[in-house]
This record gives sequence, C-alpha cells and structure tokens, in this order.
Amino acid sequence: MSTDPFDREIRRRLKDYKSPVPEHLLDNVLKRRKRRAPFFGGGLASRAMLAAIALLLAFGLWYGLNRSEKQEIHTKDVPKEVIPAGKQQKHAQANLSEPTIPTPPAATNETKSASAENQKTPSPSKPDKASQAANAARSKSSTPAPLKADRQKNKTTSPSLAPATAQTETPINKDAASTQSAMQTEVPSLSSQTSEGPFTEDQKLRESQADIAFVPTALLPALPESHLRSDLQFHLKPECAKFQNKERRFYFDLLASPDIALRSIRPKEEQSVPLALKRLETETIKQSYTLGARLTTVSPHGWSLRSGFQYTQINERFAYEGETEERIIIKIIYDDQGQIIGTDTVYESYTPYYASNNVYRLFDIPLMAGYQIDMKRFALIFHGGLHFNLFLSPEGTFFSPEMQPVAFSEIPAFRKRASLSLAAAFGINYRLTPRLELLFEPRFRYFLSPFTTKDYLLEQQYMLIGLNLGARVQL
Amino acid sequence: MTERELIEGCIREDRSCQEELWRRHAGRLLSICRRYARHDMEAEDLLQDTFIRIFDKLKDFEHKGSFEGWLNKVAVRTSLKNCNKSSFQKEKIGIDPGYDQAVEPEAISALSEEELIRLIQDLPEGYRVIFNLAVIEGYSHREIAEQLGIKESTSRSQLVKARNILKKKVLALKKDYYEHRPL
Repeated sequence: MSTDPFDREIRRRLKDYKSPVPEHLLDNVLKRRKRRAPFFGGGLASRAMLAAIALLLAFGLWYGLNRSEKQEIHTKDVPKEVIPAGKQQKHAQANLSEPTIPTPPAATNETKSASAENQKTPSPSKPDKASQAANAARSKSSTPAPLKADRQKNKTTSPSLAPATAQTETPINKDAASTQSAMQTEVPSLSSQTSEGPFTEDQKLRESQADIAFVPTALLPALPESHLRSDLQFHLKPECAKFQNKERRFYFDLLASPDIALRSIRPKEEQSVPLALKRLETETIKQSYTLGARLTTVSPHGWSLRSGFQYTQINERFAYEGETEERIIIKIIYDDQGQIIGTDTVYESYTPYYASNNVYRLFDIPLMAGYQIDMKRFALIFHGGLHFNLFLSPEGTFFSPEMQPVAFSEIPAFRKRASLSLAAAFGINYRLTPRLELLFEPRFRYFLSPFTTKDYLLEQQYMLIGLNLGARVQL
Repeated sequence: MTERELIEGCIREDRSCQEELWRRHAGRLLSICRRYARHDMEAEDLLQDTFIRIFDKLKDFEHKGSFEGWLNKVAVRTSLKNCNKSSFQKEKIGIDPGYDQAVEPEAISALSEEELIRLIQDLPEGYRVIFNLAVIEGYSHREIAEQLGIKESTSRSQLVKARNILKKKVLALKKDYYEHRPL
C-alpha cells in the first residue's frame, strides 16, 4: 500500500465515503434480476419448456444412436449355390451375424457343414470328414417335420436319379453322379433324425436354405421339375444384394452465423418524430451474430423438418455528444531555475462525447420445414418456417422521450418476448465423411412485430440477414 | 438485523432484506463505482450491475472474511469489467510526468469528497483505474498487473503520472480558491 502522504490523505477521505444514491436504482436492479429469472431460474412454464427441449434433444440423440447401431445395408439372401465355394463360408457367417432373423443352432450347424461339403467334393464310396461332421451335427439338431418329409421324398426319388444321370456321360454328370451318391449316403442319416419341438416359419426357411446347399448346382437340371421345391426354384435365379438408404435420417447441426440486423424505428405519432430522429442519429448498427444447435430429420423423399435452440445477439452502438461544457486549465510557469513564477489560467470549452454498446439478446426455438436434394457430395436445402422467441433481453442506453440518455431498464420500452419471426434459408451442404457435412446456409429472418411495447412512442422492428456456417453429423 | 440474517434474507429474495442491504452499502459502493467511471451516469449503471452480481452471488459468500470487503471487491471487479484494456497502454497526456511537487494534506482537506471524486473521474481511464487500485484499494503493482494484464512497470509509471496530475489539479484548485475567496 502506498505510503505517500498525498495518497494516504486521499485514501482517508475517500475510503468510506458514501455517495448519495438515487432511490429508483434499487427498483431497477430488482426489475433487471426478475427479467432474467424466467429463463435461468424462474417460472414453471419456462422450466417446463427447457425440460421439453432437453427431452426432445435427448430423444433425438437416443433414436439416432440406436439406429446407427443397426445394419444399414439391407440385402436379400443370396442362395449359396450361386456363391463361389470359397465365399460360402463368409456368406454363412454373414447369415449368422444378421441381427433381424434369429438363427437357430440347427441351421447354423447345417450351413457350416454345407459350405464345408461344397469346398470338398464328396466321394461316393467314402464320405469325407466334413460330411461326417455335417451328419453328426444334423443328428444332434432337430429337424422340422415337413422338411423331414421332403428329405424322405429325396430319398425315394434317388434311385430314379441314378439312371437319369447315367444316360449322359458329360463331366458335369460325372460330378453329379458322385454327388448323388454322397446324397444317398447322407439321406439315411437324415431320415434317422427326429422332429422335436415346434418350429417357426423363419426356422423353416433357414433349414430349407441350408438344405439347398447340399444340392450341387450341377445336379439340379437333371431333377424333374416336380421334385424341386418352390423356394428352391426361387433361389435358382440369382439376385444381387440391394443397397438401400431410403430411410428417415436424423442429423445434429451446430451453427454460427454472422448477421446484419436491419432496423426500422417508426414514430407512432407525429409528436414522436424528434425522438425517432434522435434515436436514429445516436444508435448505429454493429455486427450481430447467431449461434445454434438443432436436430434435423429428412424423409426418404427429401422432406425435412428441423428444430433446436438458437441464440441471437443484435449489437448496436449508442453514441452522442453532450452539452458544451467549460473547463479551467491551469498552466504553471517556471523560470530557468525551475522555480514557479506564475500560472496561466485558460478557460476552455469542450463537448463531451459518450459512447456505449446496446445489446439485444434473443433466445429462440426455430421450427422449420423444407426440402433437401441429395447429390454426390453436395446437398441443396430449402427451408422456411417460424422462430418462437423464449425471451428478449435488451441492455443498453437510449434517449428517453424527455431527450435524456437513460438505461433501457428505466423505461418500459421493450417487450419481454419478441414476436414470432418468419425465417427462410437456402443451404448447400458438403459431405466430408459419410457422416459429417459442412453447412453453408444464407438465411433471413423477419420479426412480425416490433420489439417495443404498445405504450412506447416508437416502433422498433428488425430483420436479420446472415450466413449459417457449421457442421452436421448424421445420427 | 445482523449481517448474517441480512445475507440469508437476501438469499431468500426477501425484499425488505434487499432494501436493508441497499440502504447500508449502496452509498459506499456507489462511491467506488464513481471513482472508476467517467461520469455519474455510468457509475449508476455500474452500481446496478454490482448489486445484481451481489444478489446473484450472495449464496457463495462463506462468512469467512469481512462482508464489506467482499462487497467492495465485487464493485471493483464489476467496474474493471467496464474498462477498456487498451486505455492502460495508449493514453498519454501532455503533462511532464517527471514533475513531482509536494502537496500538503491541508490542500486536500480543503476539498470536499465530491470534488476529489470529480478530480479522479477527470483522469484518463488508464490512470484513473490504476490510481484507484493502488492508492485507495491498496493493491500492489504486481496484483494490479495481474488483474489488468499489463506490466508492473506500466502500473508504476501510470500511478506516478496519475498522482502528478492530481497534485497539480489540487494545487490549482487551492490557488483558485485563495484567489477567489471573499476578502
């Protein structure tokens, strides 16, 4: 702490000095606190609204994340006989891991053994280890009754197959003959299986698909049409896997936007014209901005809906010149030795200049609908809708009707909530990764009513033009 | 009403307690704000901000130190937020900083508190803030430098300049007073 006598004396005089306080200031303080309360800690309605927003966001996130865990490429099952032998193992594993249709253990074993059999051509006399393992697996697993009957039919038809295949001497038929005998060795073991317990349609389908794998492709043309099962006929026509992305998509967007606020101040009566002119003269527009987070959902046809939370800050500068004042400047005159020989007193008139910043803070919930056109890496988006204002918080100074600079809080000029506003945007998205996109979105927003109250002498209304820049993540 | 009761009442948002707190401390806090502000209107804004902050943060007061000291600190911090940082570096006025003339305490005693506050308000912003922090609040130059994000040497030199300006103004006022006093 300074020990200079001059400092000590000033400190002594001013340390506990109490200035006279204008009475209305406490009311202003309490009003300002109350005005902030509804959003941050106050009213039940505001809390409920906050909770609803939080729930909406949480649900969106949960739904999006849940969806992303599911398989996104939808395929139709491809018959195993059209898949090259080397790839059948993989196909069987893919069937195992498919989450939508639960695979019973019987089908699993059969599918595995089937692929093993296809990799090694079975010899008619000596069934190899793979087919033995398959038989063992089948004997352990349960077989549906209809399927059992089917297999029995195969068994009964197999004697007639032998002469049919013997008539031709092509290498294919040689292979078919060998396979046929493998079937014959297999069939008794199949027939020995017993059906235990109920079976669902899915399980039947699995069983039948696994069973097809046992029938070599080369043998099929030799079979009479009546011996082919309907599902077998269906699978004979190979069908490529289809990739689908035609489901509702969810996105989470984070945005920041530099804005230009276009303001109009209109007098309600002729007497208010000087006040309007004074305010237009003393308040100038500065750079404003908007920050936001929102959830967007896009339908398979491109229609989209978005909502979220948005903070907008409109900045203005309030500056004015005060009345001309006079000040006394005393110049001390020294001689050559540095001794004071006199003083010059100068009376100088000057105009004080005061400046401060005015800020209008808006918290909104946007609700917008639109259309999205997806291209390769780009997407074009058109959106329009409404912004619901949660609250408006103006802070700053302006000229009162008495032409005195006063704080906003001293005159009830502004509404607690801004009106509905119309908004529209045209956006271009650029996809960086399959799930991450960059947003460029020129937009405008027009407030349907003024920020000012009905009783205030002027109407102060805004329109915002901005450019949303941000990132979008697919959920 | 004890201080603790007053604080607890304010935390409960009891209007009478808030009025009592205002009645006890607003005058002193307004003096602080006036010393940091350029004019009284700005000081009143600062006082409002200070009390909003006080009412918001009262629940954090731990009753360990002096309550008055805590209130003063809130007022000083709120006032400092209003200052333009660049003013500590840029402001220069054409008075020889090397000149240091002794001013007798009587010269200050002759001035009222209001006059002293006006003299301080007339200082350039950077000088005004550093003079207040160093001389009246009693912060060291290191603490000032940390708070304002400036060098210690800047704080020292600006304090010397501020003091010299004030001394000259006090002397001038004294001289003016003696010249114009009724005989």
